[in-house]
Amino acid sequence: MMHTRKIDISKLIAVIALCMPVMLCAQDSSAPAARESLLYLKYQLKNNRIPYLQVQTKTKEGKAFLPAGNVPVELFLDKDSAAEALIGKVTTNNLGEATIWMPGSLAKAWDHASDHTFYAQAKAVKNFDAMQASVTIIMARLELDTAAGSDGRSLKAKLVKKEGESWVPMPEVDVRLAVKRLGGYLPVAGDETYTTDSTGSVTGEFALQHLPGDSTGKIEVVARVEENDEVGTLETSLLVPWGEPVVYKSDFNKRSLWATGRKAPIWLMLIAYGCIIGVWSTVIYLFINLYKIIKLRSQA
Amino acid sequence: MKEHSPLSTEKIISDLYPKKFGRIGRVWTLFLVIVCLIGAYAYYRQLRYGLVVTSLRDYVSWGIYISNFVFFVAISLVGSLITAILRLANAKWSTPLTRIAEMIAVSAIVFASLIIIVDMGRPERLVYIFTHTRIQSPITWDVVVISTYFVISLLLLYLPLLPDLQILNSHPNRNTGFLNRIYRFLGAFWKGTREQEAINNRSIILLCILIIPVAFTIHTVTSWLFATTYRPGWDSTNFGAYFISGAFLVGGGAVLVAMYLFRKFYGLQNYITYRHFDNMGRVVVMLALLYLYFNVNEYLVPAFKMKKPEEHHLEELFSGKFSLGFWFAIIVGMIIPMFILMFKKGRRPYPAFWAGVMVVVGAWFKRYLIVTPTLLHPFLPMADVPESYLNYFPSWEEWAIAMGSLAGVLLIITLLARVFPIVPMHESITENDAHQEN
Amino acid sequence: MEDNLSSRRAFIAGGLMAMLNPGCSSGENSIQPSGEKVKLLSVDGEEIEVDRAFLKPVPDLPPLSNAEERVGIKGKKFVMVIDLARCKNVGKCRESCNHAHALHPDHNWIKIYQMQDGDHTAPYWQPTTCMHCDSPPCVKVCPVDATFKREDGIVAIDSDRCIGCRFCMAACPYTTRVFNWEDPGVPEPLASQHYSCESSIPQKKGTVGKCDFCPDKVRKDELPHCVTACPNGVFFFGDIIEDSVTNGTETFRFSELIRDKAGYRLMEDLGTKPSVYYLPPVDRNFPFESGLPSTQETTTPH
Repeated sequence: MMHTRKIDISKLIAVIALCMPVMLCAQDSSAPAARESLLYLKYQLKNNRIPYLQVQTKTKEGKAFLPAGNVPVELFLDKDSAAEALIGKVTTNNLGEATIWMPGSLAKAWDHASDHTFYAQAKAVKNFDAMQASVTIIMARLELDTAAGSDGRSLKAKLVKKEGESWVPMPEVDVRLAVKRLGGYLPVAGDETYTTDSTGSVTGEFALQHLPGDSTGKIEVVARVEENDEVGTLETSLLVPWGEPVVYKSDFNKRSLWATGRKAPIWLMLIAYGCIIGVWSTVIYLFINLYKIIKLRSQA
Repeated sequence: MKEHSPLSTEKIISDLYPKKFGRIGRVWTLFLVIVCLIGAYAYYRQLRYGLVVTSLRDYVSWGIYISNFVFFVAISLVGSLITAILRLANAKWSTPLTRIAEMIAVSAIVFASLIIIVDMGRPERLVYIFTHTRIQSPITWDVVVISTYFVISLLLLYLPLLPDLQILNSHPNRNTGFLNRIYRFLGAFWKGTREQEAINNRSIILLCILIIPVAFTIHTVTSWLFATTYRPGWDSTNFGAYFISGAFLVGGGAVLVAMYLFRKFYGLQNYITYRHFDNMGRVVVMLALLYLYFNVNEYLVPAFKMKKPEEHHLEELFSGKFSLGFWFAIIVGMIIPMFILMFKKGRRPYPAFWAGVMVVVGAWFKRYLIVTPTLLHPFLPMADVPESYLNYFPSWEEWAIAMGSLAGVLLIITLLARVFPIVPMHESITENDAHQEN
Repeated sequence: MEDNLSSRRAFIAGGLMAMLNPGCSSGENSIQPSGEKVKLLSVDGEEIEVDRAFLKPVPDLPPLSNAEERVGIKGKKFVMVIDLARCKNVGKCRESCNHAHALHPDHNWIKIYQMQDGDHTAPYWQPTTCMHCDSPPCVKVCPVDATFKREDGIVAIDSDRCIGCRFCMAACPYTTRVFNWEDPGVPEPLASQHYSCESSIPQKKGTVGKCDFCPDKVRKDELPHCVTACPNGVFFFGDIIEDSVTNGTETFRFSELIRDKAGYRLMEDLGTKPSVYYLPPVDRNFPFESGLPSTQETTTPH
């Protein structure tokens, strides 16, 4: 069953602004009208590898949220300034977005604590006012593996957070178990929802029958913790051979009436070129006759 | 039943020899040139600002340019009707009309191609039709058959002209220097030897046979530009025959008009006689009946079923905002001329001329009604477009270009009639001699 | 808006970060390593060397040639599902599409129809995109290969080829095509960029335009503009080979969605085989009236 998303209108407008193209940025740089600058900061981790931060700069002008491109933003770890805490400097692109990874130079500070506060400082520029944002995240890992289910096709994800020097299970967190698909995540078992238990684990049966995979039947399954206040967004993926092998045979190269000119149907070409050759050879014959008539002038 | 008494060869030559424009001729030509120039200026504006200068918009994306195109293609079919079909049917009476018919055909087909280029959003990319050809597209077929038909029509105008060119070349004093050069270039090689005549006659007969399928193709393919779509009013298996019968009718009407005007202004009473009007009138009656028959098929059958997509379209034609034009095209364009020409008195030159005018004008509106109303009745409702997209009435630029192209056709005919004999001289002399011998 | 931001960003980063993990194989667009390594920090505090070429929020995809744009994305066959039960004529799909493609102000590639099939049937709102037919009547009639069917099912337009004959517009029974009657007024720098059959930017005077299913977005693992812009999740986009469609928030198996909700296509009888499916307006999320312009003024704050 499908459910309607409830979304407040500011979200909706922001989403649209997010999707707005380059040209809007070009426009807003020349508009000094009353505006509000907005700065967003996110923490993300994929496959328990390198955490990264996403920065987004936007301008609210009247009722429209426009991406603010070309805004320099400095990011800091645990301190809101100071050179030694600098993660890096980024400049947002024309969608008002930028991404930065944790540099190796911060290893010491990183190990120092089990939670970190990230600071973003946007500098005032022509199209953006000075802003800052921060987000505090407990370091966490999301592990994903297969587990023996009723038919041997289950997924088990485990969420652990850093506490001192050790990783401890994190209960009561919503985790999604899904298959990565074009532009979205297909739940492995319909409407089923998963919340971590006292061991930080969720187990979900892979209920998708005959799901098309790649040519060898492999599919990419993911566990996701989305927008969690404590741990941010975590995603871990795994390739499993639970799909149907799919080899797509396109009829793109078939001759048809809607194929390109070079791939016209044979019957059509036979008819068309047959007619053309028939008529034009007659026309050429007539021109030859005319030429004969012209040649005959000397005999008169 | 010959009405006229035998004439001397000299009289025939002097009667039919191309004449300098008189005052009326000069004013007429000047008028046509001015109309063409206005059209050219409108086209300059269209090139500069884009097709936005027209009233065409996303729903009615084809307008009077395309209906004019269909009209020109239709009228050009007369060349094959009068010259080829009647010649092959051995209808000797049609001989004096062949040149007129071929002149109309050639000039109409020239402007049919031009108006299609005018309709293009990117005329400078015309060459892509040849460099990136898709043989699947009916437009490609149309381009092929139009160019083929143009060449064939030109040959059919030219080959029977050769003996006349000999006559013209033998009177250099009667021609201007410029015309002498043209005549020499076109026909100096024609000596009228038996061999030449034999080859030429063979060629003409072959041409007459060849032009019939090509003429049918040209207008059938033109009808397919519409019939290959799903649109109500176009989605018809009847369309090819419907278009061809309509084309023969308008061509016949155009010949009646041209016969009358040339007869009057060129003093051809001895050559284009009551008999020609009588016969041509009968032909037009038959063609009008034929076209009416196809119209009944085209409208009565869908109207009987009243399928949902057709419903709105047909109602707009029968009783809605297009009804005036629709019934005008049916009644004035077919029924009234048919009744006029049914009676012997109606087949005299003057009433026949007016019947021809009605046929031609009715046919022009008919083409407009085939193209435009359909586009205003899409399958899905009209939505999310500006108000101006919901209706269509041609802008002045479109009218100027359309009228300019009509004037262009008339201008070419006028100029051809200035340069070449309107009635074949050589054939008239031969037939006159044959008549005398009898 | 937070979750939309992150989920959308995740598509991009997903493809990218997968590169950092040899166990995953999602990104289909190959990135050439630059050879220059940078040291980054893992969540465990380890230092990891990564090639700089992978450190871009959106990978720099090599520009596509016209020939590649005419073939499309290999191994994909795009499909859209439009859920009529969720549409209340908000029009954000149309708006974002118009902006994203820098269309002439008169033009809408997405049109939202107020439909009522019979006298006593219920009215509903029906958004239409290009149907990307598998037997496209518009492509059949094009004389110069200016509009063409790609291997991924998309019917695209090459505005550098189009001669402006408008036969395709007459041929399309869904009236989805628009024509640039005048200069579309594309702003810089888009106006001077080279035309791409995938982004359909910039539109050009005297040529035809229409919905392109946004393959330029799909190449970056993003969804078309209309899909992400719709506040009600009306549009589902996906790959029929993967048997899945998503509106960004919800993802369904295409075959199950069509089966369970009795999906259908427009004008099936014409044999055009559209790639856009509709779910009938049953169990509506909104009453039809809420989409009427008069009602919308009061229910849709700006």
